[in-house]
Amino acid sequence: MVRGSTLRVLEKRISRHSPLGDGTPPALQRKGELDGALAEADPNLCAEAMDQMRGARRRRRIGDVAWGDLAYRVYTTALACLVFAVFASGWVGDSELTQSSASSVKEFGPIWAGLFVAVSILLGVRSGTRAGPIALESADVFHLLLAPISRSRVLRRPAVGVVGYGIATGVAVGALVGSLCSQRLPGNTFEWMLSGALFGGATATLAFGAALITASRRIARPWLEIVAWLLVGCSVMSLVGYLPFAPLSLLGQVLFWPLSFDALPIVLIVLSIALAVIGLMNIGGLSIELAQRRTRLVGQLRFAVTQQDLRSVLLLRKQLASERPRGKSRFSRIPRGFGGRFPVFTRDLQSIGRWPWVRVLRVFVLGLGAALCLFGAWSGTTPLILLAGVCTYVAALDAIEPLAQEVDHPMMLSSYPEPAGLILQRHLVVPVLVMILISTSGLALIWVLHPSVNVLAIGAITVLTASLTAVAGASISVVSESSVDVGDAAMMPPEVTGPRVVIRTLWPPLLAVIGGTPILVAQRAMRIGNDPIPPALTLALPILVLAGIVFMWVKYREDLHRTMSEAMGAKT
Amino acid sequence: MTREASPLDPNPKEVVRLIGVAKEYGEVGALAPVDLSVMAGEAVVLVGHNGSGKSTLLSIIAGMLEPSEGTVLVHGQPPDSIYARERRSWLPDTPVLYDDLSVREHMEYTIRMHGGQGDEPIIDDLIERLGLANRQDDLPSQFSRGLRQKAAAAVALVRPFTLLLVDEPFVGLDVAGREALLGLLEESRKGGATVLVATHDPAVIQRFKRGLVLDDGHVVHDGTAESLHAYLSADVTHGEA
Repeated sequence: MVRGSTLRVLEKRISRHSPLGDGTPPALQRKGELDGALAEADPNLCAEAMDQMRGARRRRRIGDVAWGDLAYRVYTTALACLVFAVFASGWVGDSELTQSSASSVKEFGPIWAGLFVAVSILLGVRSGTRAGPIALESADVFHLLLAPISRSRVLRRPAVGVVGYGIATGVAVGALVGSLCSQRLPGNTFEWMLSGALFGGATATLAFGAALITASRRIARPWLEIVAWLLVGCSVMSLVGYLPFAPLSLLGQVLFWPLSFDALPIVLIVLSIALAVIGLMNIGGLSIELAQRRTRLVGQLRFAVTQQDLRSVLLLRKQLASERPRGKSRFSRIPRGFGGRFPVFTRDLQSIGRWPWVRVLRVFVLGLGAALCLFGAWSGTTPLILLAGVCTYVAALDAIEPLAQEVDHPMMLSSYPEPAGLILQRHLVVPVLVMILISTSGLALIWVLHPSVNVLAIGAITVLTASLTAVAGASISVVSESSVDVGDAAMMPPEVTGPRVVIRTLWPPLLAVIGGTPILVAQRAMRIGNDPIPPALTLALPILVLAGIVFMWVKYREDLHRTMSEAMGAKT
Repeated sequence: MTREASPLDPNPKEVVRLIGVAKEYGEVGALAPVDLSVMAGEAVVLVGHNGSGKSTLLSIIAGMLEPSEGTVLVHGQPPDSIYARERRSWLPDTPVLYDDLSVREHMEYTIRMHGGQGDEPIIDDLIERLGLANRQDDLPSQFSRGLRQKAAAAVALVRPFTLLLVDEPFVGLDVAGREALLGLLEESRKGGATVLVATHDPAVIQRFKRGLVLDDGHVVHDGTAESLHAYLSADVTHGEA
């Protein structure tokens, strides 16, 4: 009975579209839509059903919200923002800049801000090539993007949400930057905050607009990437004085409006809004294949972040960026005899030799960025040393990939005829060499900009300390993800677990920051008229010892854990 | 002056047309250039070992993957056109369902998003046939793999379609669920729909009139059920030898 009725219903539903009846396909009525032919079902009714489904899901989600938890999260986030603002305010200081410094800010500030905008656009375009910035639910990709509903309509709401959130963040960060600028530059605080908010909002709008236009595939991606790189190139050339003007410096002027107002940048603000609107209107061209891939990876990435699983985050980030190792290593001609004598070194060299160009470029850019930040710290902006440490730490996380691969495969590691700790320690040699190479390129840049003996000497000391501590920090992050440490955490009382997580998260980048501190003592010595090299050397020695201790910890970590476990077992 | 017939001209009875369709993931080729034509009402089974390209081929026809080269037409239209989307239903090997909608809600919204009212009797019929009557108001996130597969099948079959693409549909299904799904696929075909199924299951293969064998992305055999059976037997014998 049921079987018969199902058959009849299925037949009826199938015959609605079946071309079998009279042998001719259903009439096609062109409606000029991008998606192609007009569907027989009323597209508006189909889209209304989608809207109602979304509404029902939203109401359910709101109903499931634990308002107490949400209020607590808002409270802690606001508190963290406040603490950050106070600290940032303390770092920046409140003494007004001298006339010459202020005019230097007025001259170079818009160019630096323009460079920031150009890099944001480049990141937006890169994100767009991977179907960013939207990350849909996988069920949305499957049920909505495959339904006979205009994809523009399906995607517009999530796209507006993402862009709106991004712009709001840009406005908030911009206002904070404006407020910090007002502490040292002439002008009213409110004006600075307003101009900062406008700049932040416009930058976010441009970046998200670029991402949406790239994702919509209306313009060939290589062209958009070329334009983005050209914008970055123009800003860099303008910064070093080879170009009189960079287009995005105009938008950079918005941030410094309290110093000198010019109405022309308003054109760029309007342009940025137009770009975002065009992107939102054309988002229906999004690649469903890329959207599906992004959805899967972003979902895993979010989970890894909540689990504080740095290794998974890095791996997923590389997958999201479509970073695939090269099929053939750049060092494929290493003699067999050398490989036999130094297998770990050779394996690591082959791993580095398989880096895709984008990763090579990234680590060198990070190295140059770290060098510029350290030079900024040397010149008096001390907080930049934190940024330098973060740059070297992130670069070292890339350099230490061979060690991470070894840690990822504990069964293979334990099958080798040598102690696991010794093998892990041997994996540190190539990353250290890579970091020294990267840091040296940064030093070369600084020496080209400011050739002096002091820069060369202090730079050489810092290259060594920064490279070693960055690799030490990265190795702690990678090695302490292993099961030995996770098992220990499970045995600890909850009072210890919290601080342990904080220390485990902050200690590795902090170690990388410590690597740059010889610059600070050298600068202090210079300021009081002393030779800067001896104090830098004096501080470098304990830093090198610290890195050495970490490298020894990598080797003896498992033995230490075993000894401690045995001691605890004997006590109980 | 009359125009010469182009290979891209739609044949009214041709539901799926692949012209030199290939797919590569970076440097790895998943599907070699494939030419394929499937007519209305045909039931085709895709057979091949893991990684042979079955799922890739179905995903390309489903519009989930973009071919690296070649042309795909569904009812003479691009696979991502609204026209094709309205007529094609896709049941993937991994069920994709919302965690916060019940099975019944999934079916109601799906049918409405394809032009229905949401209160059609087919909803109850499918729920009954697939053994979901007691779980129709439960969330799929609470389901086992087999139940999720049944729910996904119900959602795929509840909407109107002329082309049904099914990838490894019987994984995790119990005997009753498997028989129910096989019956529904057969009824869909009898109702005039074109059915493409990728499977490893020999018991399922023999129910289809046309079979394609894929090997490392190449279509190495395309023929009737009998010739497919003979081909697979010879392949096994050859493999054993």
